[in-house]
Amino acid sequence: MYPHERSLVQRLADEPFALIGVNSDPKERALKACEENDITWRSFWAGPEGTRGPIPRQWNVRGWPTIYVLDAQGVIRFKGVRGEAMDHAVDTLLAELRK
Amino acid sequence: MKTCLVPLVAALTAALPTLSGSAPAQDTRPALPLIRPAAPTPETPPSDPYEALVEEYNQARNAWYQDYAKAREEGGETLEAFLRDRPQAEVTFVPRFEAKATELAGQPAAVRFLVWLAQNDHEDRKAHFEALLANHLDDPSLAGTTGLLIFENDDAWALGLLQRLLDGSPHEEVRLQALLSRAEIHKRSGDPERLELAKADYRTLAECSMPGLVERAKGNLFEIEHLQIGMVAPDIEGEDLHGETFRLSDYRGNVVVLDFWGDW
Repeated sequence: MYPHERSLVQRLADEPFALIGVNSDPKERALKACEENDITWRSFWAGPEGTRGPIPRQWNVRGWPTIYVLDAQGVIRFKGVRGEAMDHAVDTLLAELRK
Repeated sequence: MKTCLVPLVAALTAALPTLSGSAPAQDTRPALPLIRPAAPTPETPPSDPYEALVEEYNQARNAWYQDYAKAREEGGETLEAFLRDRPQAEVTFVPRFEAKATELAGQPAAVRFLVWLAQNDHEDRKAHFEALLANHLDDPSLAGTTGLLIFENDDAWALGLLQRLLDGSPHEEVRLQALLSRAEIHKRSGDPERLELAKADYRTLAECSMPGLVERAKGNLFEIEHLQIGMVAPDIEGEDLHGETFRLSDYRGNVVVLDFWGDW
């Protein structure tokens, strides 16, 4: 998972694109994971309650990872896309933006 | 939240053998045979036959997985032969649970065997559910079975069964769990009309007496009403991992992948 997202972020470094995480780990573990896996993208921290923290709870997240893809207007356009499907979703929305 | 699997988990843990190495000299009686005649006095209840069978099944299943792991390491023909010749534990244990359920048919003691079968015998799941509802509609432990129906392929059958629980169970917890399962089936369909049915059930559950169900219902209502494709994502405000506050909407103008993740 990390390698795919890392390459996506690197490939689109100059595009209007952002990968935003919501991390449910204890903070120290999250920071360690970022360092060890070269995770450069920004994450909200879900707080000390972890998976039951306020953000995952509001978003009704019951499986991890859970993925939403939003267009430039903030509209939810894809859900649950992983790997190549995520690349395809992002590329589709970036192409829309260039029109 | 009351978890519906408690009876099963309790059975699994309670059935663990007690391996006491203390004072062996005090007890020189031979080991009790596995099957013994019914105890004449109710003060010393015989070991529970359900728990004994579940324990035996767990041991067989664990042994299967251990041997499978070994066979997989060797791979090739060893693995092929293992998969061909060594049936999984369910294959031998389903008939044994069925035999007990048949022997006890109609009695409350049959319920646990039927619940186990509904959970583990995927081929005949429907028949086991039908037996449960036909003879044990008033059993409170049916609350722990409705979740199995959420991912049942035959929606119409599952919904019919849930309706019978909703109409016929004298236990509120069973009816509420049935309502939750019905809502989840409708929600999973993604069909707009059925999402409305799901919302109606979730609204009922959001007012109910079980806190765990209330929370789950509210979460699902929010998801249906605010987190569908085509809806503007709710904003998030919070701290990043370095303690700096930011908003999801700070990234408007960008395509955003929002990734709920954990390092596990």
